[in-house]
Amino acid sequence: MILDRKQKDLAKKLARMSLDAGGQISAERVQAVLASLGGQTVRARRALLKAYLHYLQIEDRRSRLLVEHAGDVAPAELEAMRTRLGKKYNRNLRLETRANAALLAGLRATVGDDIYESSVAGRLANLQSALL
Amino acid sequence: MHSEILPLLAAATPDAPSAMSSGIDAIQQVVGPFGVKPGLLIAQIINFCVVAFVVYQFGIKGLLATVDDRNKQIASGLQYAEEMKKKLADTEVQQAEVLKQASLEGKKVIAEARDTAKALAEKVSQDAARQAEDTLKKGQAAIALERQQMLGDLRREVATLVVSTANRVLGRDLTAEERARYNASAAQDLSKN
Repeated sequence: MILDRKQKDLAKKLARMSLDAGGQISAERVQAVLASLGGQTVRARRALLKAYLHYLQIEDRRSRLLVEHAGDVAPAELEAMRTRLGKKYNRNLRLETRANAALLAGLRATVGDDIYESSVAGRLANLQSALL
Repeated sequence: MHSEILPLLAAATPDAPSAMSSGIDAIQQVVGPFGVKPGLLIAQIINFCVVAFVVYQFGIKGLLATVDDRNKQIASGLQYAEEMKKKLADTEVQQAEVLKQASLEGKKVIAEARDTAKALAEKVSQDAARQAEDTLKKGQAAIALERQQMLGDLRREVATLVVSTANRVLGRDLTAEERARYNASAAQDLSKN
């Protein structure tokens, strides 16, 4: 079933309502939202739930700070980064770190669709683009 | 005989007897020595006249007619010949004129053909030169393009090689300490931006 614009907006609003004050997805709120959708038909509910899940995933990505690194990074540095970026996005960001040897050295931070690159591999890729 | 004729003559002209007798005497003096007999003379004269008449009527007249005809034929033949001669002369003049015109025309055609051939040869030569120039330009442009492409390919290859080499060198040769230092610097940069 294809959702119309109104239902898409509803799903978006429900996803926003599922966030807590810090901008993180709250389990209780999600349950409350799910409970509120009981009155609809199964078919309509399924489509709405799919859209709701989609927008929740978007929100989850927006509230997550994924830091890829090659080598060791001081936790204090990571925390400082999380605080700064949290202020910028006006929400509490959930920090996730991942080792990525392909970066050679440096970091790559991802929040939602925004990527912040400060790695040797990134600079080499820029150099290659500039030369080509 | 003359003695018989003379009185007859005198009788025939009764009105002039004296003149007649003197005349007859004169005649007798003239014809006497020659032995002319008047009777025979008159007969001969008559014969002659008859013969002359017959000859004229049956001979000379026809002959004259034939001669006349022949003369006419000859005259007409001569006239015809004259006319033909004139016509021939005219024809020869015309022929000469025609030949002259044809010669002039022929010379004109030859001159035109020469000019056309010359112009065509020039045009062909110019076209060939232009084509050669175009081919040369195209060749030069192709060479320049190929050179640019080669330089581009070379630059790409060099860049790829440089980056790949840097990749390998840094991946292998960076120590953990260096990495950690770089990471700290990177974290600060990201925090500021």
